[in-house]
Amino acid sequence: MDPHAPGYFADVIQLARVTFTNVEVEIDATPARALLRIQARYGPYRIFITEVSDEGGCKYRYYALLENEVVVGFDNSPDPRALRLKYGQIGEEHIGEYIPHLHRENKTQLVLTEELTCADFVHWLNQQLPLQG
Amino acid sequence: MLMFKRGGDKGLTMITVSIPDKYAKALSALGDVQAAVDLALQRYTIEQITAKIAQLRQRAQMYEAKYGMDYPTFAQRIAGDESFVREIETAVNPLWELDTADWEFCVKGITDWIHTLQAILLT
Repeated sequence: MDPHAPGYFADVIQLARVTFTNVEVEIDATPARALLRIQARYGPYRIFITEVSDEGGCKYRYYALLENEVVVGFDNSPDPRALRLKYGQIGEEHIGEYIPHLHRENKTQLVLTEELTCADFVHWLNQQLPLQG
Repeated sequence: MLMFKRGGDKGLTMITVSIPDKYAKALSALGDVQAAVDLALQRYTIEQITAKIAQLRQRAQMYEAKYGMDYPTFAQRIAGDESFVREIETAVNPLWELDTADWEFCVKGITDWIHTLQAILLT
C-alpha cells in the first residue's frame, strides 16, 4: 500500500467534513491497497466519493447527483467512451488504462480532463454549484 | 504487569506490549510465555484475516448478483464495449464506476489477504 494513502485519506475526510453534511465514511485496507468511500450531502446534491490507492496508483470517483440525475461526475475509470475520445478508437493496447474524464448532463456529455484530487472536486463544486446562504 | 519486549532477531519487529498480570501468571504456570504469546498472536491474526476474507467475498458476491457476472468478465466488457456500458448505465446502475472500484478492491483484496495468510501459515 502507498505509505501516503492514510495521510491523504485523512485529508480527504477532513475536507469532506467541513464541506458537506451528513458525511458517512467507510475505510478498508489490505496489506497492498486501501479504499475510502464517502457519501454526503451538499445542499440539494448527493455526493459520492470513492478513492482506491493500490500498486497502479490512485483511482478516484467524485460524483454529485440531484435526485437520481448525475449533475457532475469526475473519475479516471477505463471508460471505453473516454478511450475513444482520447485515442480515436479503442485499441487493445489502451484497454484498462485510467482516463481522467468528466461526465455532465446525466452522463450524456463526456469530456477529458487532467487528473483531479478531491480538493479539485470541492473547488469545482464551490465554483459551479455554489450553495445559497 | 509484565512488559514484553521483542526485537533484534531476524523476522521480528521491535515492539513493546504489556500483558495483564492475570495472563502472565497463568501463562507462566502453563509453560513458556513467549511461545504462548506467539501462538495466541498467530491464532488471532488468522481469525481476523479469515473474517476479513469472508466479508470481502460477501461484498464481491453482492456485485456478481447485481451485474450477473464475475469481476474478470465485467472488467473486460466494461473496459472495451461501449454498448455494454450504456446498457449497464440504463438497466443496472448509472454509477457503475463506483461499484467497479469497490468490486475490484474486494477481488484483489481477497488475494492480498490469502497471500498474507499463506505467509503466516507457511513460515
